[in-house]
Amino acid sequence: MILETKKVSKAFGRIEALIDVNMTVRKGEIFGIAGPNGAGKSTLFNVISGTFSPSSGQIVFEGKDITKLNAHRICHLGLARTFQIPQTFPTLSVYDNLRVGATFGGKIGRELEKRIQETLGFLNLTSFRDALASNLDLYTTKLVMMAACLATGCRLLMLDEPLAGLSMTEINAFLEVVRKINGGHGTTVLIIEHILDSLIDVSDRMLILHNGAVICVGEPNEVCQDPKVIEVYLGEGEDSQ
Amino acid sequence: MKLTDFNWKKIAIILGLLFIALYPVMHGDTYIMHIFILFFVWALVASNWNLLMGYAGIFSLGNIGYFAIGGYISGILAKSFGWSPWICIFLGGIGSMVSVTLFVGLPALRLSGIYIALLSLIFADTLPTILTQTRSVTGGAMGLHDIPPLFEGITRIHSYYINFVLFLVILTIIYKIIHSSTGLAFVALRDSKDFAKTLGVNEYKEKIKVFAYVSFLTGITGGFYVHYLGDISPTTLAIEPFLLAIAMMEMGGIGRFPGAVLGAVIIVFGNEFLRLAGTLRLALLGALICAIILFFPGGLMQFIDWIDSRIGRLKTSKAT
Ligand SMILES: Nc1ncnc2c1ncn2[C@@H]1O[C@H](COP(=O)(O)OP(=O)(O)OP(=O)(O)O)[C@@H](O)[C@H]1O
Ligand SMILES: [Mg+2]
Repeated sequence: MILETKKVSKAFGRIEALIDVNMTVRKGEIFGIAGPNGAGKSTLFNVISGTFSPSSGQIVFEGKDITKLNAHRICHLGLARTFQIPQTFPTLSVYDNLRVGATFGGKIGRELEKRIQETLGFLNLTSFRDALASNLDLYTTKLVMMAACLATGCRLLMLDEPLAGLSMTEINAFLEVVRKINGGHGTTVLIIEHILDSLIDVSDRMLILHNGAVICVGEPNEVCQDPKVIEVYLGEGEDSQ
Repeated sequence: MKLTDFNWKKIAIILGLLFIALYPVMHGDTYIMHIFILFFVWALVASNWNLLMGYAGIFSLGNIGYFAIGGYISGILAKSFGWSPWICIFLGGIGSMVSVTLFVGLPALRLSGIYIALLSLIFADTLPTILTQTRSVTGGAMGLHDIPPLFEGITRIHSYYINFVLFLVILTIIYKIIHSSTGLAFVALRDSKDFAKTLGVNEYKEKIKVFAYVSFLTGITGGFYVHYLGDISPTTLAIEPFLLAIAMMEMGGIGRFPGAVLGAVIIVFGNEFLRLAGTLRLALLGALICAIILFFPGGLMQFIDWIDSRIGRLKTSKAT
């Protein structure tokens, strides 16, 4: 087990974005999180990565209690995350975007250059090395955001809706990269996606969040047969039509 | 050398520095040397300010205060205890660093944008009051006079070269800071604060570091300045030096190195040579600043970029 949340709740004023969320992520797996809009998926990421602190509950990463730590401390411990709204450092080159991760998250000193080159190579970004991050298309932006996370040398990578806005071919390519990171580096991956099909495809296990609460956890085929999940997703389908 | 290798900026910098280095032996007018020394000092004040404001994105308005603290501490120590001015200057830098980091830096961590501006302005604004209250040591409104020079028998040429070396050393340090991990952290925090933090950037640590660097370097510059002039008074903290230093930054290009140095060239020399225009001086200077900002909002550095792109186009059209 690499990550565990114990009865984690988060309220924004009257809105209860997370209610007693229990989740365990095993070392080396790809763990999917799904749920309709506003289910609390991003909030869960924010609470784990230290962007917000939870209203109650406990978060344990590799046996350490990280509930009250700041975002940068959590990163130093080996956990990195991407954002739903793609974030890069637009005025920096792709290389320097990774340099931020490697310098501050990595604590690696002389190995820095090597780590960046390796990460660029691993994600096929070498040809973009000197490009300015503001000049990249959406797909490459998302890759660079993820590459900067990997450059920290994280053992747990959390991806918040990395597939949103991508074309079908890009989605497949991206998932391929995620599998490669998981397989090649042995990095545990936590991935949010609200389209179930893509998530079922890539996840070892998954969790469904609805109105801030966990409604189902398990292997993808179990989860998508769960009546509560079907109800939530059919409900959402009707709403959007 | 091919035409495409020609880097006019490097050549301009080398020629400029060469000219400054040789000026005392070539021409050596003591008055103009004095203006050059003012230029060295104000270029450093503005460049440090730019590091804090333009690079670190911390809206500090108190930098003249940091400068005055370094100057006063050094002047008082040298005068009262007869210590070596070199040591006093260093202690002045430390004094500025400690007080600024403590009273502006730490509270600023809890504040943002305009509130840091207010806080730092209040900090600088209390200094004249403190000075008049401590008249017996600081000389109050009359100022501190007969501050010992760096060494006995110092000449204008000595001062010129000492301040020139100071100018080169501190600018090199600023350049190094900008290109260090601290500089990288600031660009990252400015571009995307949340992402920077989740990649391990410790915002507080980097901010405190830059406050410490800037106040120390500005304080030291203040020390060299008072030992050169031999006196300092609360007028240093008046509105005019403040506005001129801000203008140097604006004109040079905020967040660009060495923009503030270019701004200082225009302001310091402009300010001196426009004395001929009498009371119209500040108005003319203001008009010049407006004109530059109007056409090049990014200041002189943007003007240089523009020339660069022109030259680039010329080269490609020649090549084809
Ligand atoms: N910073 C915040 N302040 C106030 N309310 C918030 C904040 N962040 C999230 N919320 C609320 O918490 C709830 C959960 O939001 P969250 O962004 O976690 O959902 P999500 O599952 O990521 O949805 P989506 O699929 O749209 O990304 C929503 O009702 C949202 O309005
Ligand atoms: Mg979300």
